[in-house]
Amino acid sequence: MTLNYVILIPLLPLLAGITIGLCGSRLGEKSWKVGAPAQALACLISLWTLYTVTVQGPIRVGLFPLSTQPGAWFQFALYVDRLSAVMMALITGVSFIVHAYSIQYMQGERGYARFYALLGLITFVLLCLVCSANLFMLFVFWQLVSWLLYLLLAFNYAHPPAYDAAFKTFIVHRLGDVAFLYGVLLTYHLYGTLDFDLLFTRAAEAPEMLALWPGGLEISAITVITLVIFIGAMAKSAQFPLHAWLPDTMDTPTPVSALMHAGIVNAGGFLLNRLAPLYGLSSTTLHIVFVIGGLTTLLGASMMLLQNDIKKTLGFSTMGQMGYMIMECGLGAFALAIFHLIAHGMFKATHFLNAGQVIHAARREPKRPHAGGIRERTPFSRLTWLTGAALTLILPLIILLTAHEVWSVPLRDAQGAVIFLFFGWVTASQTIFSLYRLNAVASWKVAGAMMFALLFIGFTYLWAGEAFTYFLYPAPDVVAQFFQAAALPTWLFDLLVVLTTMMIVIVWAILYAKAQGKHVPLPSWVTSMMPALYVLFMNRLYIDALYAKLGYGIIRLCHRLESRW
Amino acid sequence: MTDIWANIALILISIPVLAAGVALLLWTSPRALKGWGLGVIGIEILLVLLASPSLSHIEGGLTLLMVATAFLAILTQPSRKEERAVFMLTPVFVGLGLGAVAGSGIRQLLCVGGILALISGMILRHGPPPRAQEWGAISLYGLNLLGLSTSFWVAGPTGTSLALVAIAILLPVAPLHGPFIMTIERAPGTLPAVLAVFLPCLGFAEFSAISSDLPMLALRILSWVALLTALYAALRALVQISMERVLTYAFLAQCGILWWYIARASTSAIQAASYLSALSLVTAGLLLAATQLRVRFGHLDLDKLGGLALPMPRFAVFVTLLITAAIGLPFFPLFSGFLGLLLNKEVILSWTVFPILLTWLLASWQYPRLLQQVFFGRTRSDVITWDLCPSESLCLLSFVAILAFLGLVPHSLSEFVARISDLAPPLKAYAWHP
Repeated sequence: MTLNYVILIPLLPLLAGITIGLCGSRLGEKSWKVGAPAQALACLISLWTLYTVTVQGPIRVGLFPLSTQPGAWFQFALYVDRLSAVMMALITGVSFIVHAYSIQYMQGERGYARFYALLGLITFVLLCLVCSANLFMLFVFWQLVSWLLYLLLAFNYAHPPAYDAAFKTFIVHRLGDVAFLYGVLLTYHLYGTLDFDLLFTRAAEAPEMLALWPGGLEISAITVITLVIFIGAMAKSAQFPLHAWLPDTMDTPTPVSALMHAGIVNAGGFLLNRLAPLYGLSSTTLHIVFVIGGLTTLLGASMMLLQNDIKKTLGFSTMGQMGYMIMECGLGAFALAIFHLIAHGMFKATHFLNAGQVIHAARREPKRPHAGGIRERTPFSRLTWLTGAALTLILPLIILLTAHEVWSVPLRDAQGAVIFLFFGWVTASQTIFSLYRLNAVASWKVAGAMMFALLFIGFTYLWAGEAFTYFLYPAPDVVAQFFQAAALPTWLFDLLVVLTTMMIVIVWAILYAKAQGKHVPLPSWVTSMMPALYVLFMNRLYIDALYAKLGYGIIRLCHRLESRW
Repeated sequence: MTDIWANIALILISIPVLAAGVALLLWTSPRALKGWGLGVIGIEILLVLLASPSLSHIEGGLTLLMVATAFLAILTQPSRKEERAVFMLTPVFVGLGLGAVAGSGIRQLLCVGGILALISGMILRHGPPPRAQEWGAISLYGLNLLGLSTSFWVAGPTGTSLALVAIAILLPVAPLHGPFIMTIERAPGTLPAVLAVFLPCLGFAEFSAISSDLPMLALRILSWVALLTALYAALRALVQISMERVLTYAFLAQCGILWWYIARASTSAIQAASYLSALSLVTAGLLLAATQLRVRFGHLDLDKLGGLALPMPRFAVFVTLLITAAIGLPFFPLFSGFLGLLLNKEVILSWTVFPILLTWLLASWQYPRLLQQVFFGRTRSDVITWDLCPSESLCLLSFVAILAFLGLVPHSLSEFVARISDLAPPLKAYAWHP
């Protein structure tokens, strides 16, 4: 077996984690001196690996056992292609930032060494997950992520809400793991291999069918496999209805939240990308993925608006963003999903680390917060609304037309690309809310700066998305095949686009009218629905209550069994 | 030389039983008894290794598992006067257990009878005065012996079905699980860990002998009973207030999975043996950890334990690793064993795999809940406790190391035995069967 330097990338965090774990009592608050340099070195090597893989192609390193029989499932090997290399760079980068941030943040905390040991171990597990060469190894590390996340979330083990939330997270993740396990077993049974390359080839060559009952309805085996594996992805990436664990994980140290929201929740998106050739064979699964992702986006963003806690707001924001990521996968835009998760990871980690500072500062602030609850009514500003109109309506049209006419992005055939642009448009539309609430546009200079910033970001985003897609999937026919497999019926897609456009325009118009002090006549059923919706979303759709009821029901059943037998 | 190895099982039994007489001379000194016990079991380990060419891979693996567990159990047993009987009973159990697994016919029956008689005596003598439940358990053990003896004389499906019922008491399946639960609860000292390995191994060895003769109807009924056992025990484990009971019911649930597999796959193949080895080892490790808590607190009431992570950090780390193994996470053998079971084509496409997966999921509820009840929460200031002493740490570390070794190499216990067999000097075939 020839060892490759690539093996150092997961090995360094592992050695650091084990060293700190064994010598933690002696290292104490100097544990960072072992952990942080190891992460930094791993990050540098992963950046070099990214360059090497881009230039020379994928790297494969067999690990254990040394010699394997054909069809053997118990194998560990590293496979580093462009996707893995990008993920490794992200994971080591975020982990290093979290290590560095925690040096001061965690000072004085009991369990300083334990924290750094767990950080090292979870980084190792995440790195092995993204560079697994087969489904078995990926599944092994997928499970270990669930367990190590539980131990990290229960870091403040003396605090009951912390370990209760950790337990809830673990149970939801294990539910996903069990579904994933079934997918792995079916895959091996039907295709005789868990190696990715072999599996994709065999799945494409010989489509299998499964009967739901003897002599009954038959369904494509790929659809069943991809669906059950998707349940695993749903649990990790907090998709509706397996999202309930995410907002409650705020009793954990802020660096853990940052790592989780920037790294761990992305695991679902990575999984779908790694198995993209399989998902590309099942349109049914991709459509279901799209629906789940869309629902998660809508619900996550709605619940986010009603939170009064900074960390919970960020938690639901992550849920919404993960919904977008999954939605993009559901439309065949797998590379865009990776681009999205990288961008989201970086900005969300920044938010959480900043949130930690804000909370610390607030706790030290001796002055009371402002007690007034009534905001003064802001006067109508034509400049504000003109800027908003430009940002919301005019500029996105310019970007859309430029993409289609100048850069020849095949929008008619690439529904994923359209959704991507829609994402940009909806995000820009949210600036309307900010402008409305802050009355932020004070002059034409500010208006001009905002419009230039949006144009710059929009075009950069568009270019980056195209470039990244080409980077991950250089063969254009592969990308086209994914889009084709995920394509919704044209009438349905056009209807969705038209409806969404109309909604954005109508909402803009209503806000404009209200800002001018005009009365907007809405149907009574709409106005009566608003308080109910408010309560519903504030209580997170009562999903948590439903799960709690289910849990209590199981425990009651167990007590009944105990008393009767 | 050939004559000595010709009756290897007799030697395996006789050494501890004869040496029990020597133990009586050391009765007043628990430390000397402990040393004696370790010495006897050490000799048994050597004998098992030397005898491995004469045993099948499964038999060799199971016997090695039994002696290793017994050795570690004695190592961690504190030298207390009130529990010195453990030092004498454990080697005797080892001898009889090895004789039962490695033997057949009358000798096997006598060994099993000896074990059950000792357990019955233990249930009567140790702990509070016996009530109806205890007498019920002893009666079932008696029925077990009756069933095994009858199957010895009665040939055909009747005999094998009787034997199956008897085996279901040793390798527990509902509704015959009562004696097993009772045994684990009533056994003194570290004997619960020993018996949690011995009884299932005995049951499995017995089952291996009759599996090919079982009628299809019996197997079909067995698979249903096993499914119900798995779910029933998994649910009951969620509401137990004693740590031992949680572990026992969790073990019973996993036994249900094993029974389901061997009923559906119509075989007690090496996969099943690997799974049983892993399950028994991890349960034994956790029961030994429970014993260490009982030594400190005098009880295992989960409502009264809690917040032990801070005063007992080393203990917390070892138990966390054992619980990682018990949940069925990598890189421990319960995970690879479970995967090995389910990769069988006969079982994976059956709808019955879903309750099995549910049982597997419920283990992720039982064990972390146990971990939280014992270690999490505020440290109690009214309780003085201390972390593990070196022998206790060595015992738990050994369990973790053995589990990690087995986890990285599936079927490794039997393969290890096979490798030893290849290295051992060639032995002439021995005449063990009467």
